[in-house]
Amino acid sequence: MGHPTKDRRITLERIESYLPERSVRIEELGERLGLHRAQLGVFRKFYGLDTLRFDPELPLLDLLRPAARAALEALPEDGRVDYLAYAHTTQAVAPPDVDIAQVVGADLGLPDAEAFGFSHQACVSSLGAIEVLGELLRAEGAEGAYALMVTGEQAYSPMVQHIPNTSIMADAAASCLITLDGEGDVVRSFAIRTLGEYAQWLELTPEQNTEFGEQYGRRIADTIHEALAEAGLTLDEVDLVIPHNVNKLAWRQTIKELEVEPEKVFLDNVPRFSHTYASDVFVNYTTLRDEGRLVDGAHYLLVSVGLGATFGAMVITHRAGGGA
Amino acid sequence: MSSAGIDKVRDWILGRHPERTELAADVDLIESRLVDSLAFVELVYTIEDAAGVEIDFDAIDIEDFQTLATIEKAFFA
Repeated sequence: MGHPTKDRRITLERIESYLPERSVRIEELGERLGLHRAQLGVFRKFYGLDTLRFDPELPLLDLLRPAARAALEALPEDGRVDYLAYAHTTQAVAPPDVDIAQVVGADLGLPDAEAFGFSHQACVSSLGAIEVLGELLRAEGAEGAYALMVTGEQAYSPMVQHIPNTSIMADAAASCLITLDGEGDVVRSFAIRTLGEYAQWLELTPEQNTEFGEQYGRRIADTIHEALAEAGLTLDEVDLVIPHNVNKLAWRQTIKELEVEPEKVFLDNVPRFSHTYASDVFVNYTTLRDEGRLVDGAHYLLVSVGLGATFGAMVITHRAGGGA
Repeated sequence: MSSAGIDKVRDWILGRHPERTELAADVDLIESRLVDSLAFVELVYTIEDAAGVEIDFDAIDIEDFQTLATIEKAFFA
């Protein structure tokens, strides 16, 4: 290898996302999820959910393939993908004898890429995978090597679709082609905190749920400030927070904690797509990019929270001339 | 009746926050995190139970749930 490692910056060469076409209103899921009038009313009126993409007939590979292929289009002719991480929230996305990371690698024509799954940070796993892939490239990647982060999953059962009093999960996928010192968006920092006392996911006691809800906003704010400090930036210097789509009420409390204008957090996709597991920040990124709202040289915060409970914040600097 | 109804709502909120003994009518319940996002459905049920009616979600706004005073005005006046 022969090149310095720590000094090399992770760059996001291409970010793409994919949403199944089938769109449903949350009320259409009421019976499937056992949601009653008041719960649906709260989800719609206060949490800001409206429609979401949900296609149980779509095979998982067909969900993952379009964004991954689109991201790979940024791979130079002589470029090689050494690593592939499939980041997912739900532990069981396939039967135990099926390794989705390997299947995706083969499907994409990347049989030589070292492919592995990555899930213990739940909905922060996609951001966490970027860091891990970047570290792998730094540690042992060949000059000019690339890595591919693939995320996406489906709300295949009511148990993984309805997070009580929190969100209704939806289908989506995203992918990110990564290298070191490339021309894409620069990863300036990544802060992550896992609070293991909430590891029981949906089986927390009511007291734990209350406690978790109370500190949710503050924990996100702390993680954001940690990422900013590591990047040597202030929140004022960041153009926009590109968040997960859990719900608008949780973000309202976080916005209060951050002491920023509500417009600083991009929440337009909450009523359109709802919470799409670990894909949210990339779905939101591509929406903003495709609307021409990402500014060359501007800084953005990618923020997500995962059950379990993990808080993650990544500062990136957008480069319009790059691939992303 | 109206004061008894809002008292039930106040008691429910205080019951979730043992460190507090009182709750003024103008305290912002959402921004102060006295009612966090995980507890909103329970708040709705508590209000419906105390008011004896189902909330019409098409007719209300999140601001109606901002403080005890706005809850009282919207559901117990």
